[in-house]
Amino acid sequence: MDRVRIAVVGAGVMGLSTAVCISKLVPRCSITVISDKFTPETTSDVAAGMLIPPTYPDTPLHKQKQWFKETFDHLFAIANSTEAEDAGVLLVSGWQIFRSIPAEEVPFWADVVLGFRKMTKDELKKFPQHVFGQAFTTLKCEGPVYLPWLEKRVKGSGGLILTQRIEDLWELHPSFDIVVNCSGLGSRQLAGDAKIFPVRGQVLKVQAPWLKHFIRDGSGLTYIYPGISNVTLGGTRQKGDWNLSPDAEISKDIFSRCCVLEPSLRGACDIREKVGLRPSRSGVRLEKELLVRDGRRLPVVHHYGHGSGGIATHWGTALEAARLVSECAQALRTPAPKSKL
Amino acid sequence: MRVVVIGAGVIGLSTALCIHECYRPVLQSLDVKVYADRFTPLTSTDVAAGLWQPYISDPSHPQEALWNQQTFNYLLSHINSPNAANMGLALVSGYNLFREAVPDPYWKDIVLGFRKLTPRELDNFPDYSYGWFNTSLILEGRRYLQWLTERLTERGVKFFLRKVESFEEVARGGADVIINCTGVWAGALQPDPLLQPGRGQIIKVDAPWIKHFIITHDPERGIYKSPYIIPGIQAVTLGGIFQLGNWSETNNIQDHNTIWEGCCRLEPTLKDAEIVGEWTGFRPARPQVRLEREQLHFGSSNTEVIHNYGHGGYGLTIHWGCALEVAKLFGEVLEERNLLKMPPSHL
Repeated sequence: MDRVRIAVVGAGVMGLSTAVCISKLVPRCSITVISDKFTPETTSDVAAGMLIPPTYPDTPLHKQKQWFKETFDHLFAIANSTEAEDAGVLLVSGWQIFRSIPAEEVPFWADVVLGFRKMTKDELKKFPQHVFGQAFTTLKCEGPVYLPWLEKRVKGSGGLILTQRIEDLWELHPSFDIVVNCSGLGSRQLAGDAKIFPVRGQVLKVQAPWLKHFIRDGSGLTYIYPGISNVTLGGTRQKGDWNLSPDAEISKDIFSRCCVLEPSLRGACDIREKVGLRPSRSGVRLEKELLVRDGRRLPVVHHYGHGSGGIATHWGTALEAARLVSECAQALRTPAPKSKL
Repeated sequence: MRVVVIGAGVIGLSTALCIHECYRPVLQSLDVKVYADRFTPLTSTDVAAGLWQPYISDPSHPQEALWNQQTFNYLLSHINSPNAANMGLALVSGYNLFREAVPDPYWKDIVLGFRKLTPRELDNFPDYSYGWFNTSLILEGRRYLQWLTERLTERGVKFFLRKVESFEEVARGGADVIINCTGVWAGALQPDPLLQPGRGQIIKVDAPWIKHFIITHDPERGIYKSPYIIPGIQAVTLGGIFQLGNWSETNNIQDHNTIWEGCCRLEPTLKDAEIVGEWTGFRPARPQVRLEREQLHFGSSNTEVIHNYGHGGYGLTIHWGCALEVAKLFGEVLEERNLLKMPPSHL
């Protein structure tokens, strides 16, 4: 087989970064990214993009750390290069604070971020309701800028971008030899995966350019993430809620919780509401599957289910997905062993 | 009791406010006026990047260390106020970079979270091998001066656009106490060979992805002669010029190039940043701040002058501590003249 035709379903951060990784790893292939939604309408566009990873109960910890480190290193290099502004990547320092001493004072990712340490008593004075905190420097990777930058890279390496809603992965057969499923929540339908469910997140994007630090409550419910052109205030974690319309009461509540942590936010203006559904799963699904139907075969690489840790782990999981695609391509190129009969 | 403050930069306005806050409650006759020939946005304060950070070396006058600390604590106490941004005040963290190991600065416990840089952090700055990380404050000159002006106006303090030619002229105009906050131009009112302009030039750029200050140090060249990048509320200040004795108020192309090349080398992400302005200002450089009383005699009356000038490149950093000290000296004047019925609550 000469040119392996690869379809990547989904154009969020997973679809686009996987397409880029595949273009670097798999020789002689053509890549088409197919999605019904593109930036700025994907889940990745709503995410603040802070590199503070969650913990997936069903994924081995060493893997999570590897994915996070690979993503951090990849984005750190961009943040320090002339591409930083075009890619939407920046370094931010700040604090994660707790109302009671957490069971885990030093998380698994502490030595991946920069300068991780416990907050001093003087630093904690800024947060009278909190008794413990961690200070560190990490990265922010902003969907609305990063995704177009990735799209340029996909096209630059000869990839195609198609707007189309896929209802069934078999639609891609026989036009494509390998399918990479980066459809996030769409996998409920496309992969028949009942284990993936939305965790609704509502956020506010405001103008408060004097804020230079992130502040995150250890519960993950309240956070302030300053970015390039706005500050993200959050949030909510509503399991099983599919509602994409912002709720005014929730917005008021988010604003008020954030003002407790950062009173100067009262001066914030140009407040916009956004909602995203985190594609949540107890572990990231990153594996090959051979679909078979009526004698037809369709190799699929699944790459979805990152929940709230998508941006934080995307490059590491995309590299792994690309390796799995490479294996599929190798298998397709290796002639089948002749039967002995 | 008529007080005239000469100078409307951060020193003049903060001193006026401090005196008014301390003594107006106990001295009904207190009348404070501000005379200046330059108001914001034309003062030296307006050109300053506004980062709270004293010089690296110990001050020649130990009192300055205390005044710096008082200023930091005073500003920090406002950080959780909803008005912080209105004052031009914000927390900011960042890097001080050196080519070799240096002792910790005396202010390491004043700022928050002071620590050394880790090797990975230093990888980001290939020209430097040692450094510090800490959280400090930004106090943007222009916004702060506007805020001070509002507070003073609320209190009935009046401002006059006047070029003062002599202390005598102000004394004969009826001033009982003159607070001399004339900054780099103090020599025009009374010669001071210790005071010199420390000319600085800065470029302001639009680079909102920069959230940290980065200050490099080159002990051979001296303070402020090495590139620095300081994010403000809306724009990022790029600098690295300090020319003692240079009174040229126009922007210089060589200085522009020095700043631009130095800062882009330090922070490559600046390459495409849009320049939104370029300014020149004179740091009122002096071996130490002149903060003292002087009695002048014009005709039959004695006029008290309290000098408060010569704050170099650390005016915003030290301003409130100096204002408090001037207020204390002013209190002594009032006591000597039997004007104080009871001690003021602030001291």
